[in-house]
Amino acid sequence: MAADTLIMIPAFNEARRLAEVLTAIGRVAPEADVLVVDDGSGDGTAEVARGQGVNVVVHPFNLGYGAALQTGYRFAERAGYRHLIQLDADGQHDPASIATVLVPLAAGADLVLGSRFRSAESYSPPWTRRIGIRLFSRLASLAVGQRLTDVTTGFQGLSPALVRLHAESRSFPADYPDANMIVRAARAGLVIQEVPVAMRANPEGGTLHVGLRPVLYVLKMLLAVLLEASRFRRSRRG
Amino acid sequence: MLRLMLVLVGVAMIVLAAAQGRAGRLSMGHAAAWFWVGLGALLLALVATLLEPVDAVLAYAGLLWAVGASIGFGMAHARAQTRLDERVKSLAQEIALLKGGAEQARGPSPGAEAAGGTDDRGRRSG
Repeated sequence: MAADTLIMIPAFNEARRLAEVLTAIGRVAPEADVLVVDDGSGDGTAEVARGQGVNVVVHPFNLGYGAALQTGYRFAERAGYRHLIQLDADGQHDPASIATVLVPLAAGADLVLGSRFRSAESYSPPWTRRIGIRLFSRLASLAVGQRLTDVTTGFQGLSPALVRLHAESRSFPADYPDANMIVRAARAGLVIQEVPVAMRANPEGGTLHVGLRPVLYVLKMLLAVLLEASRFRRSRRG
Repeated sequence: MLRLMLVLVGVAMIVLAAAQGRAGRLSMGHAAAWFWVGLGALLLALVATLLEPVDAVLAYAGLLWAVGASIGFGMAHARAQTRLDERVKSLAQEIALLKGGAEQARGPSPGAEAAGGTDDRGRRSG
């Protein structure tokens, strides 16, 4: 694992599981730098991260998952890392797959998506989520002209070019940066690749998508993907 | 009477847009929306004077103007709010990065290190 790799973990109230995730990362990627972006947690997430000796950036208040990611991108851009790997703090993403994500990144890919559907070791999400993921994966595949199976994955690898694009974006969504950001990367002419990664079900069943949020998510994401795709088509014609 | 009201509303909105916009109490988006809504009211009064349409037509035109004004206000408000949200988010991120020592996180480039530079990166120690 190269020393110019940053492993970034956006976290919100994940004090209970973060230590385990960081320990696992330390085992598989001891040379990599690690950054935890605490999105205004109230449960001591930042203290847990500091206790593990990793870089910690704390939002003064809760800004959203997307904003936490963008803070990490800004951190990586300023520090000049060559590769950025992002994974979730809840333990769903197996750090053992970091090396799998890193391989295409080192070979020149700009965005590497860790797909749970390409791996036999991954859990199968509930059918409602599966339908949503498939729908957006189809839409994004159509928009970028390449088959993608898991566009809602939070397990990703990014090149400096993509990190810069997101870090400097004034329209990076603060809430759900998913399929729309993949279309944006394609629009910028960046190379996208998908690799199989192991994902576990969240033991507490926790997800960003609770209550009425899934409905809002679907509507917002549909609009965002269509908007990005229409800009993509225009830029292709131009 | 209706025409007089339209003229008064139109003039008031344009004057207010200019004054509040100049004083910085309205965002540019809001000031522009106020201006166009005021101009719309004046144009409606002008059309009513020149063409003397029947009341029903004038009422429909007024309704259309009101709907257009609402949409304009809504869009201006949404745009101003989005800009404000983005600004707040960006400032909060900057504060977090400064407090988190982002500038000092990594020292010399890998090339400099290879040439014998020191490594003062914020490496994990755990």
